[in-house]
Amino acid sequence: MASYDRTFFDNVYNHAFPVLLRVVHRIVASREVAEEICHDAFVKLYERIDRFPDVDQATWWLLRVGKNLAFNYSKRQQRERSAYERSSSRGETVSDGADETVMRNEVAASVQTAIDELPKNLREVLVLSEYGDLSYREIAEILTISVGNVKVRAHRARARLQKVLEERGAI
Amino acid sequence: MRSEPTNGDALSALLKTLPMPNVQAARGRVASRIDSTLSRRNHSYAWWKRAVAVPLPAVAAVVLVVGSLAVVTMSGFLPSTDASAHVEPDAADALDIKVHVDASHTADLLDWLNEQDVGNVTIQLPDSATFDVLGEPVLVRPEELLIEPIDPGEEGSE
Repeated sequence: MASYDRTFFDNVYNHAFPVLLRVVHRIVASREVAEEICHDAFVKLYERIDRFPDVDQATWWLLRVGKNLAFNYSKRQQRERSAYERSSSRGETVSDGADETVMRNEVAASVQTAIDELPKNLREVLVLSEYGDLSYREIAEILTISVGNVKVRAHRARARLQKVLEERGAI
Repeated sequence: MRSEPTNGDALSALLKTLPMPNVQAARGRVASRIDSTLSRRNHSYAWWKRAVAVPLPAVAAVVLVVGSLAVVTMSGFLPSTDASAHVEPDAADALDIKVHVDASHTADLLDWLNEQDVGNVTIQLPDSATFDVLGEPVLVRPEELLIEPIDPGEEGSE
């Protein structure tokens, strides 16, 4: 790799890594898997680093690839595990004995489950928006859809999530 | 910028309760893994799979040369048609035919040439050929020129 490409790769890494990690982590709900997917996505980026005119284009492509890898992993997991296994093994460790912590973990698990139950087209917009802190324009670039479509999906995702959480008493 | 449903702040706050990864720690771990993967891949990458940058003019030149060679080569293999086999007398002057003839069949070639109605024929002999002078040189008119085969029995008699 030429030194220019290496510098460009490093710039993309520094710029995109936090966003990619947060988005992927929210989809797969596992630190190890999220880091593995980030690694794979950046290696893919490295293989075609000379195709991107600027950091933004590379970042959007990277987020698209990372998001797809994460959803593929999540889909495989859903097929392989029963609902009980998913809920019990998901995410962060539960319970240190304090009631407040237990309650917080239960709420978090409930929110995570509600996010997972969203249709993929709504879920990806919600995750990119809420956990990637990306603008609607950036999400539109990543998903290759219109900004208006992003707004509609974001609204529907939040409305559906709120309804589900209200029904389950989380809100 | 975002459209918020009712009670949207509560929802946003709830979404933020989910545990987030430690970005700084993960950044270092993933970076070192990427470096390890890339360095391993660079070493094991077969040379014939590597991309090589070639200047466009060089590619164009190579394509031109190969194309020209292909045309020249293929023209030698094209089947001859009746039209191309027939050579008009006017065009015979421009015809350049190379025929390699064994020395023992030189007489046959001369006989054949005598039978053809083709104007001037130039025979290019090998550069390395050496000939002995036989008899006396004479001047003849082109129309009177008749090439007769040499009787092998007469060779060296003078």
